[in-house]
Amino acid sequence: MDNFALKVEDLVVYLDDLIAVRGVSFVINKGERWGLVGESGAGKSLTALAIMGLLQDGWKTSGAVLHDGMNLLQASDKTLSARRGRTMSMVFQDPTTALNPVAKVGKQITWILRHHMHVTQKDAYEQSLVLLNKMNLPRPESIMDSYPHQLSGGQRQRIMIAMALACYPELIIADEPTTALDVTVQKQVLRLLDAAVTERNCGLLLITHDLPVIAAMCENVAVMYGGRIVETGKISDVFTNPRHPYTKGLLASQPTLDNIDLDGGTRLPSIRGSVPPLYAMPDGCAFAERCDFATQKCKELPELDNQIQRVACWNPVAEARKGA
Amino acid sequence: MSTSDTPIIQTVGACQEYKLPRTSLFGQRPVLHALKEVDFYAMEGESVGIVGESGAGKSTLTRILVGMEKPTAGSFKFKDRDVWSSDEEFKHEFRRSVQMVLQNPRSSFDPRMTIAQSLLQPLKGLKIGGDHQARIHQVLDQVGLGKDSLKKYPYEFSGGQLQRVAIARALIPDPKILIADEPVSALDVSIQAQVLNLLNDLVKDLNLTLILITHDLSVVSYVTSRVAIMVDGKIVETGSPKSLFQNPQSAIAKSFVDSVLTVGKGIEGESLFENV
Repeated sequence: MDNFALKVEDLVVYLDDLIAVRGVSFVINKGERWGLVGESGAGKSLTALAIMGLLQDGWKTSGAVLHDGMNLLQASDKTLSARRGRTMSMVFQDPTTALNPVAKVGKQITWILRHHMHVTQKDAYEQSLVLLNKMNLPRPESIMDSYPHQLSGGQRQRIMIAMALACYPELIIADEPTTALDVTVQKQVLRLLDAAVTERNCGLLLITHDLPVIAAMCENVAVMYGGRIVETGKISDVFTNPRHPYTKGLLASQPTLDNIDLDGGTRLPSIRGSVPPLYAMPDGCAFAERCDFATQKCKELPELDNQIQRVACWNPVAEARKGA
Repeated sequence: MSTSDTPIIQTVGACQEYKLPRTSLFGQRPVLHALKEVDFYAMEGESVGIVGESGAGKSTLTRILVGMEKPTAGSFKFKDRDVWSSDEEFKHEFRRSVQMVLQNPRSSFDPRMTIAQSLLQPLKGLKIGGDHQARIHQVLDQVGLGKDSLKKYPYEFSGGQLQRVAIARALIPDPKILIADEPVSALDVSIQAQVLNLLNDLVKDLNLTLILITHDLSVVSYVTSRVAIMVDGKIVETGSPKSLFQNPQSAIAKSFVDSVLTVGKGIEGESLFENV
């Protein structure tokens, strides 16, 4: 029995000569929570889709994605679809488009249970009710009998989480699960996801560009830029002592209630320039042209170093003195 | 520039109702009360934020403030004159003075027009005279873009740059009031700070009145000096970001402040990195 819920080794995702993910490796143990941070174009969503085997036609992969004793990248469609929703499941960003608009919610949850767990309709219905109850949804019976459009965004996202949890998966991938929700609902949904992952002891891969969400939910984080992981380590290390200039810039440029003077007059430090497009990704460090610390050396590609808090940078930010 | 005591833009008891589709063959069509007696104002040169969940009436209030909709009850005043009962000349001045920046710059440009053509539209539409080319160059300079952008099409820009062009387009008729509806939520995290800083600078340099609509309390407190919280078609609380965060009065303001996540705080607000 493997100890890990997911092991990604040197994953590359490409479409002809466009390379979106350029060699990503990480291991998620059971009960461990990983955050994947990056902006659009960093390759984080394609990484998730590649793991789930949901890439669109034309995208190709190399490397290995080990889960449930097999390499998912070489698995057939049939074995993959037996795993999806069963041993690994995904919560998508926009619950409006991820749910089937012409089927009642109850039917959609019972479908999963009947398909994977081979239970009777009656058992499936009862288990679905239990799930919805756990999601703190009021009057689960009437929600089972509603169509997705009759529910609010927060309710729909809770149903997505309930569906993801239905078959006790080993791994949950949540791709921007709260981005489409109102801020006041965001916390409730995160709380539910947090409780569910703790209770089931499953691995969680949380993908978002929202740093505070990652900080609140995960133990480990991988920061992606230009298709590569540029920094990875424990949340408490990476977010308090970022070693990559990009991570540092990203953390500093977030307006939070702590770093701005509420009487006005502060100025946010910002990262200049913008993310290079896929077709013009430099050979060396992808962040070099936006980086204040870039040198000639940055034209070569940096590899992740071997420290506990790993960073791929030729000139990592000097460590701030502890307790200074 | 002197600021007078009267607000530059103001709604007094503004209500907006929408008739919903008929639910039965008989009886009245149901009515949605999107705004319920909203009193909102902004002084000249002031930055005001409007915060609320989706469905709270933020967008309806915005549509009234830009003059796209007439409130079903109450009045809407610009420079202390009712806009909807004024003459054409005043309406023209109003339209020129209130400009808007939308959430997603990708969908707010005509993909078939070059940036130069897009930037000409407000000047032509509002029949503004003078040297159009010089004005376009001037605003591009103000938002930090070069002249080479003029020949490009919207798809050639990144999201952050295109939002700069959108801000430039709003600035072209020399407005007094800039209304920004979620100006950074569609942008990348590393770009958001650039655009927020730009908005801040422009407001100061041009003495603009900024009305910022957002659901992000951190953004609103960075940019504005007064925040109005909307719930269910009403403004329930107004105050400086500082007083709102340190001492929220209404229950909904409290829940908003509680819902703000910051790096280093757990879901329940506990401190995560205690050893630091």
